[in-house]
Amino acid sequence: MNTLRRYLIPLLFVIGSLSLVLGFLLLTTDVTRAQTNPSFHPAIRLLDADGVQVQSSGEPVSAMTTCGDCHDTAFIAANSSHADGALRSVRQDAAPFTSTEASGVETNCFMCHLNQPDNAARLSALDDGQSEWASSATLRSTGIITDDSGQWQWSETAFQADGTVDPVLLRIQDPSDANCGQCHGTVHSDGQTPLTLTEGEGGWETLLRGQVFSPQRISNSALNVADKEDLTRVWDVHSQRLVGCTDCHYALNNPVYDTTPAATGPEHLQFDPRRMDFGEYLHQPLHRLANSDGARESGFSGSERSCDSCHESVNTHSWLPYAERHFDAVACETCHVPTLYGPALESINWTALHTDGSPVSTYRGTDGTLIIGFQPIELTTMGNDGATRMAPYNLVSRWYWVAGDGSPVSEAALQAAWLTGSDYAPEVIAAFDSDGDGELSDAELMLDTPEKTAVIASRLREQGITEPSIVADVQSYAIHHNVIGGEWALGECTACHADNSRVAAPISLGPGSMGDTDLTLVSNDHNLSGSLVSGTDGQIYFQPTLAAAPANTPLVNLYILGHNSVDWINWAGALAFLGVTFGVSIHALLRAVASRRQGSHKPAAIHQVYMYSIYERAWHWLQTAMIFGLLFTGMVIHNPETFSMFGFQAVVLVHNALALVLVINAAFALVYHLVSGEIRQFLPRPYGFFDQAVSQALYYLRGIFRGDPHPFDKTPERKMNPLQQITYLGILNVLLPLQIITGALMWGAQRFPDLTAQLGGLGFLAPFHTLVAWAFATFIVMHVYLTTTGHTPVANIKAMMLGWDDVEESSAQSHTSESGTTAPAQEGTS
Amino acid sequence: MLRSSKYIWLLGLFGTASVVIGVIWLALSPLRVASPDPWANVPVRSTHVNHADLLTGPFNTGPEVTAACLTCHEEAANEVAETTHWTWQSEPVTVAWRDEPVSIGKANLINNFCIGIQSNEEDCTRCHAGYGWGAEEAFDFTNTGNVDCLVCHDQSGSYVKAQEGLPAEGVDLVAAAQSVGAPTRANCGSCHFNGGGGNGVKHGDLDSSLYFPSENLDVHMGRLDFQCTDCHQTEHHQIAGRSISVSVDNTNQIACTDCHETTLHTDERISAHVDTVACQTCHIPTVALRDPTRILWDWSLAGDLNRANVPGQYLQTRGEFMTTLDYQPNYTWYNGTAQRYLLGDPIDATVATVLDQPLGGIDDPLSVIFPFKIHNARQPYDTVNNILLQPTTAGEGGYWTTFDWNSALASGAAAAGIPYSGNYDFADTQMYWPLTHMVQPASNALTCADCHSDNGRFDWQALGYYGDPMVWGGRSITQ
Repeated sequence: MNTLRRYLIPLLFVIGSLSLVLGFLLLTTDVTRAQTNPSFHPAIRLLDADGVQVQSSGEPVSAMTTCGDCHDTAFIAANSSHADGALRSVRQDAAPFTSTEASGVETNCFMCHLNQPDNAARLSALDDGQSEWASSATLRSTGIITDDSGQWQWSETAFQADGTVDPVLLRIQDPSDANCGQCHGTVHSDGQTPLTLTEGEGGWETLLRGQVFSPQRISNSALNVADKEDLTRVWDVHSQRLVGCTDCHYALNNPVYDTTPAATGPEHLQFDPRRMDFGEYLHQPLHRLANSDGARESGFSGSERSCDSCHESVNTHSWLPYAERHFDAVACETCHVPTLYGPALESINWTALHTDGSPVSTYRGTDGTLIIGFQPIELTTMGNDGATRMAPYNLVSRWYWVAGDGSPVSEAALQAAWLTGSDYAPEVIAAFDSDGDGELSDAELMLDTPEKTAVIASRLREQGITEPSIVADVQSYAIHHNVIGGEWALGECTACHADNSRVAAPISLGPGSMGDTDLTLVSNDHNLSGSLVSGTDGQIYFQPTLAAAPANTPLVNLYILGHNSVDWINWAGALAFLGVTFGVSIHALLRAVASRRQGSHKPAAIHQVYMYSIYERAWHWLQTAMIFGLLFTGMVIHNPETFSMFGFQAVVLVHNALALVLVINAAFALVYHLVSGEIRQFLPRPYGFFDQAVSQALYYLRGIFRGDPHPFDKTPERKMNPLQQITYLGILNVLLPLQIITGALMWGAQRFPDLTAQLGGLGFLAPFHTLVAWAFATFIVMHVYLTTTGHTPVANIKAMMLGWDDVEESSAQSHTSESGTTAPAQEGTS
Repeated sequence: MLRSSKYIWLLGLFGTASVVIGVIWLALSPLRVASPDPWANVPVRSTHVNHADLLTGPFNTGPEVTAACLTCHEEAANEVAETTHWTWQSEPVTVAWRDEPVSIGKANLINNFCIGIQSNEEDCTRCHAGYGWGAEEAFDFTNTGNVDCLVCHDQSGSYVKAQEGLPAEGVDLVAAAQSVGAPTRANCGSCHFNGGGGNGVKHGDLDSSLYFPSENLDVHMGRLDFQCTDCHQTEHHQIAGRSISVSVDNTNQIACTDCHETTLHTDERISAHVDTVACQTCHIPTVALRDPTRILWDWSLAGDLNRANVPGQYLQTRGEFMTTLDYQPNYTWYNGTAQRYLLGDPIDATVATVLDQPLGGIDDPLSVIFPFKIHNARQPYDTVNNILLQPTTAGEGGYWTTFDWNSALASGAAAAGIPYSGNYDFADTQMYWPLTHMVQPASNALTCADCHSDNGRFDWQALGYYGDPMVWGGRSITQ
C-alpha cells in the first residue's frame, strides 16, 4: 500500500505533465497550421463528378463540381483557352499532327491554381488512358492521393474532420509563374539556385522563341554561355522586378486591372465607380487572359495591352534622337530584346524520328560548344494601335510528311514507319546507317537522298498512307519576353543604321531541302519578303529585305538612314559627279596645252574693281563651309560603316545644326539681295539671253583655248554671265529649296510625321535628298573649276576673298576703277 | 582703306571657322554629360622614403625604435597619443540615452566575444598601438615613448606583437624599422582582421581573405587594389572611421558618397531607394565569403573538460561556437548612432541584451536600412545585481587557467569597478556589426526579388512597414 502510494503520486504527476505537454503540443501544432496556411483560399471539399466527397466515394475528383461549389465553373470552362483538361505543352505548329479537337477531358483547375501541381502524374494518367483521373493525378505531389499500386487512392489523413482538405497540403492560389511555366516555357523564379536547362524540355515559349523567364542574372545561371562573366544582365527584367505572368496575362474582368478605356466612357467621367466587385469577379472570373490569342478572339475590350500600357516610354527616352520616330517605326522589343540566350528551335524536322519519337531538331544560339545567344530577325508587324513596326521574331523551319490529301501523317504512322518497338526498324538502319555503327546519329537521320526518302515513303505506304510526300514551311514567332532594361538594350545607332546592320542580318533555317522538297517561304502569319540563300555551312538562310509585312497589312515605308539606299541614285549621282570632274579635267588640260602653245594670255590692261561687298563674301564663304560640312556629314550618315570613326548620333546632330545655319544664312542673304536690289544680278535678262548664253558657252568651248577675251565683262553691277545666271537660278530656286524642304521633312518625321508621310515618307524623301546632294557636289566641281577661268586661275577666288577683282580692260565696255568702286564700297561698308 | 587690307580673308576665315566650330560645339552639347570622378576623393599615394639607410640600429626594444622615429617625426608620437588607437577610450561625448557625457572605448566596455580587457590587459594589448600595457599596473598614457610605430608602418611583414603589446620574441627590429612605409592592408589587418580572437571571428566583412582579395570579394581592394587608408583617410595619425561597438557618436564617419554620387543609378526605381536603403544593403549581398565568421559564442558551456576541443566549434576555455560562411546580413534601421551597453547597466536576463543597439527607425528621416552581422552570445551576468560581468580570463588567475567562474568574475569585477554578488548565471546578448567592407561589383548587387518577394530578406513589418513597400508604398518622410 505504502509502495503504491509512493509510486502513485509521482506516476499521476508524470501522466499529468505528459498530457499537459501533449495538449500544449497539439495546441501549438494547430496554431502553426493556421499560421502557415499561406493561401487566402478557404479549405475545400474535394467532390467527384456526382458531388460526393472523394474520400467516401473513392472516385476521381472533379474540378467542375469541386470548384463549382463557389465559382461558376461552367462559365469559366466556356470562356477559357485552357479549358481542355488534356492540354499539353506541344502545340500544333510545332507538331503538325497534334489534334486541335477538344479531348473531352474535364477542365483541370489544379494545374494552374495549385501551389505545386504534379504535371508528370497528370500526363502519365492521360497517356495511360486514365483521363478521368487526370485532375486527381495533378494532386499527387500534395500527398492527398497516391497511386502506389497502380491504383489511385485518396489519403484519409489529408482530410479534416469537417471533410475539407488540409489547406496546408492543398494550397490553392493565383497562378504563379511556375504554374504557367509547366507548359509555356522555362520559368526559374529562384534567384539563388543556378538555372539549368534540359534539352527538349522547357515548353514551347522557350523552344519556339528562346525565351526563359527568370529574375536570375545570366552570369549566375549554370549554363555554359560564352563570356558569361560579363553577362550580368538578368534573363527577363520583368521577372527580376517581380512582374509575373498574370500581371500582363490577367483575367480580363479582374477589377484590379480594369482599364475601361476613357474613349468609351461618358465624357463627364474620368472613373466609373460602378465596376465589378470582387465577389462577382470571383464567381465568374473570365478566363480569357489578356494579351493572348484567346483574349483577342473573345473581343473583350481592353484585352490588348502593350509595353506602353504600363510604360511611359517618352519619359525615359529623352536621350534618343528622334524618339517619336523610333517609337512609330520600331517596336520596344526590337531594342529591348536584342539577344536571346534560351535554346530556340531553328528547325524542327518531323520527317525523321529519334527512337523516343522526338523529331530531329536544330537549335539556335550555340557555336557548337558554348551558348552564344542569337539575334532575332526583324519583321514588320501591326501593333495594337494600328501602326506597323519592326519587331523581333524567331523563324523555325518545319518539315513533315503529309498524305496525298494534304493531311499530316499521324504520329503513330510515322513511328511505325521508323521504329520497331523502341529501336529503329532494320530496314531503316540499313538505309540510313552510313557509318555502319548500327546507330543513327542526327547527321544520319537526314532524308538527303532519293533512296532514303523512298525507304520511309514506302514504309509509310505500308501504314496505309497514300502518296506520302514531304512539306516544309517557315513559322514566325513573335518575341515579347526576355525583355531587358535600358542598360542592356540596343543603344548604338549603328546597330540598325548601318549597311550590314541587324535589320538585314540573315537567320539560319537549318537544312534547305529534305527528300525532293525544298524549303519554301510559306509562313503562318507573315509574308516573308526576302530570299533563301545557301550558306557556306550547308545551311539555308533567310535573307530579309526590309519590311517583310504581316499578311493583310499594307507594306510600310521604312527607310533606315545609313542602312537603306537606292542604288540607281547613288550610281547616277556618282556618274554625274565623276563625269563633270572628268570633263573639267579634260577642259583644264586642253587649256593648259593651249596656253603653253600661245604663251600666257596678256590682257590689255588690268584694273581693280571692288566686286564683292564684305557681306557678300561673308555670306558666300559661310555657305561654302556649311555646304561642305553638310555634304561630308551627309556622306557619313549615308555610309556610317565607312566612316565608323564618327559617332552616328553626333554626325546627325552636326548635320542638323549646319543645315540650320545654312537656312538662316540663306534667308539673310535673300533679304539682303532683295533689299539691296542685288537680286537682279541673278535674274537673266530675257532680251538676247539665248544668244548671250550661246556665246558664253562657245567661249568656254572654243574661245578660251584661243585666248579670246571673256564675252562679257564682270562688273559690280553685272557680276555674272548668262550661264552663271541660269545656273544659280536653278540652284537657288530649285536645288536649295528642294534640299531644305526634303531635309526639313526628314527631320519632321519626328515632329510632324503625318505631313512627312503624306509627302512620300522617308522612303521617298531620303533618296531624293541624296540625289540633290549629289547634284550639289557636282555643281561645286563645276563652280570651282569655272572660277579658275579668270585672267589667272586664282584671280576669281582671290576676288571672292578680298573683294577686289582684277578686271581686264576690254573693248566691250569700259569702266574706270573709280566708277567701279564707289557704289559697292558703300554697300560693303554699310 | 579696305583695299589695303590684303589679309581681310584671314578675318573671314577666322569668322567662318568660328561659326562652324561654334555650331558643332553647340550641336554636340547634348552628348556631353559631365560624369563626376570618384577618384577625386581618393588620396594620391606618394612614394615612401626608403628608411633603410636612416635607421641602422641596433634596436633592442620597441621604444628604442620609436625614439629613433621621433628624432625626425617629432610630433608623431604626440599625435598618436591623441588617437583611440592609443587611448582605447573616446573623449566624453553627449548622447541621447545618457544624462552625462560618456567616454567609452575598448578600455572600459564589454563585448560578447572575449568580453572585456579589464584585468586581461596583458593579452588584449597585443593589439594596442603601444608597448607595455599590462594587467599589473596602470598604463602611463602620457609616456608617448611607448607608442608603437612599427605595428602600423612595418612593411617587412615580420613584425609581430606579443603580450603587453611588446615585440614578440625573435622579431628583427632593425629590419622592421628599415622597412617602414605607409600602412597597408597587412598592417591594419594584423589586428582588425583578427578581432574576437581569430581570423574573421568578429566582423564578417574583415578577414584575412582581404590580404589578396579578388574583385568579386571586394571591388575596391580587389579590382582597384585599395589600401585601408584610401578610405580611412588619415591626417596627423587621426584615422577616419568608427564602429558602433566602441564609439557611439555620429562623427568621423566614412560614407560611400564621399566618392560616389547618389545619382549614379540610371534606373529611377533604384534611385528611389537611396534615401531609404544604405548603399551597403544592396552592394554587400553577403559577407564572410572566403573565411567563416562567428555568429554564436556560448560561454556557459565552457569548462567541460570531458569535451574535446574542436577549433571553430568548441574550446574548453571558451565554450561553444557557431560560425558560418556566406553570411546573409540582418537589416535594421540605422542613423549612424547606437545605444551602447555600459558597465554596470542593468539587464533583463529573460531577453537577449543588445550591447550596441543601432538607433533609428522608419520615422527617422536620417535612418536608412543597413546591413549588420549579429553576433549572439551567452555570457556571465550577476543574478543578484542583474548586470553583465567582466571575468578575468587571461593570466594566472584567469578562467582559462582555473576554470573557476566565481574567482574569475570576482577578480574581473574588482578590476572593472562593478559590484559582484557572488551569484552568476549566463544571459543572452547580441551585438550588431555594421557591414561596410566586402563591397562586391555592381553586377553582384542585390536585385528586386532579393527583398521584394514572398521569401525576401526583409521582414517588412518588423521594419515598420505595413507590408512590402513595393505594393504598400514606402515611407513618406525623407531627408
